[in-house]
Amino acid sequence: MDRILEIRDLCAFYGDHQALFDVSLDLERHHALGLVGESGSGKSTLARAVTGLLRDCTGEIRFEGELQSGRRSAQFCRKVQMVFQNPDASLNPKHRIGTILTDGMVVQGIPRKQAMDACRELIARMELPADTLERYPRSFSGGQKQRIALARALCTEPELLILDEPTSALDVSVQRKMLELINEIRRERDLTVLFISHDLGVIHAVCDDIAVLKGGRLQETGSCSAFFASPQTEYGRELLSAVPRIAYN
Amino acid sequence: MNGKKMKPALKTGLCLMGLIVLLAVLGPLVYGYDPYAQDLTAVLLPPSGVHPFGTDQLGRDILARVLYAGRVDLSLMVLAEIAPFTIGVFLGMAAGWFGGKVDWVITLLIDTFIAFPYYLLVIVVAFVTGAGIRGIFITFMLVGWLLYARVAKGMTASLRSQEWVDAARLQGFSDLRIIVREILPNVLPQAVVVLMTDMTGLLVMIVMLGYLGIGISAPTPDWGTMIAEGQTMMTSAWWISVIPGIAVVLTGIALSFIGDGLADLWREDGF
Repeated sequence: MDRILEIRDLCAFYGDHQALFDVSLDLERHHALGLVGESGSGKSTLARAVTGLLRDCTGEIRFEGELQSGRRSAQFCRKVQMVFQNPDASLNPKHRIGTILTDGMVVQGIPRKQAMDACRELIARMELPADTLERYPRSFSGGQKQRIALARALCTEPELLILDEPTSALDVSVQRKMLELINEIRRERDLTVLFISHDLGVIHAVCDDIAVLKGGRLQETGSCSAFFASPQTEYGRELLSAVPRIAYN
Repeated sequence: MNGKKMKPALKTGLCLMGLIVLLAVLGPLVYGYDPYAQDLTAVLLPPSGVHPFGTDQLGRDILARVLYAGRVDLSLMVLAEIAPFTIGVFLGMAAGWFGGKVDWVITLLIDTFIAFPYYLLVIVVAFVTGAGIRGIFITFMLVGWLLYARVAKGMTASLRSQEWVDAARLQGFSDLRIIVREILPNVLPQAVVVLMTDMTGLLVMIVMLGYLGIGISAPTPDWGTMIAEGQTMMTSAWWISVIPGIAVVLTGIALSFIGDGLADLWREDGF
């Protein structure tokens, strides 16, 4: 099995508060892993520790076999990208979308003009208006902003895409479109996905595998089909029974 | 901005300030009188067709002096703000961004300077460095950056936890790049609004120092020294003090309008 990400005994801290306790988790290449848990369970913390946004942690994080610590390399930044939860806070309000999307590529050494052309294609793929690149973030709806954030994450052609509650701030119809888009993009680009959500229905729609977090501790991991058929732990059963059946059928 | 209609306050402020600047720049060129030329046969003349704003105790034309003083005071006001603005904004952003020891040192500096009564500090420093333009520059360099540093620090500290800053980090941008390219454009509008308000304060300070005799020194015309010179003759020759006084007030009003207008405009833009 080709593991793109291996996490061993990860503990994470915010000052005196410990947010993760000895979490060990593997992510298979080209799989989509759903990380589920209630708010405050450490899901986002895990993503922040993996991407190096949170440095106050112990344990091992290996990406493609290489141990990651401290500031991440440019190579890592190209290969691992993230979409955040809040569409209103994930785009710099003072930059045009064109700048937001191309800056990452320019830093990676791609000429601005070539980057712009690549972005135009991406914008079309995301079903965003043609003049998107010339506009500022404030003129877009939440769903559009989230698709722009997704486009930004895809710009550097990453291998691992981390989605931190990418749909929870969106209303239901927009949410479904976003999930469809994520699924399509994932297959087109053969991406590995770490999908963070508190919503089992959303996980069911996207993921192959699932990991359940509670209070900073990993409760159970396994394939989605096995989990949804019969969860291994009491907490897993509890979570599942709380979801109306119609949501994931 | 973006084709949106400007607010009346901003429009009024910009027009008024434009007019004042235009008068200060072109006025002395167009208007025939020399601001330094004394004429002892024409002292303390009230406003008339020959001298529209009258003359002072040495027979110098008040209009010529007010116009020329505008040049002196306004250019000093702008030039003396450049260093404090730049230093304040960058120190503030550094404090807000890095936190920890950097923040501790910068905040200590700010608190130390703020603990002194502002005008007392100004007068003491101006007194030590000596009267004149150099003194004003040094004084304002010392006290002027505080305000910008505080604003920039607060803004930066609140912005650094925004997801777009995290996204920038994930794009592999360096700290310097994030501060200059991502944070600065968000801090600058606030800082410019503060700049407009602070320029009024600086103008008042320049005028006050001139009035106290430790600012711009005679015979260079300056609104402050002009007000001081006319003070003893307020009842008999009011125009000597009142005309430069009006110039100060109008400039202050114009800057306040611009500051308020910009703040409104940028607030509507989402800030």
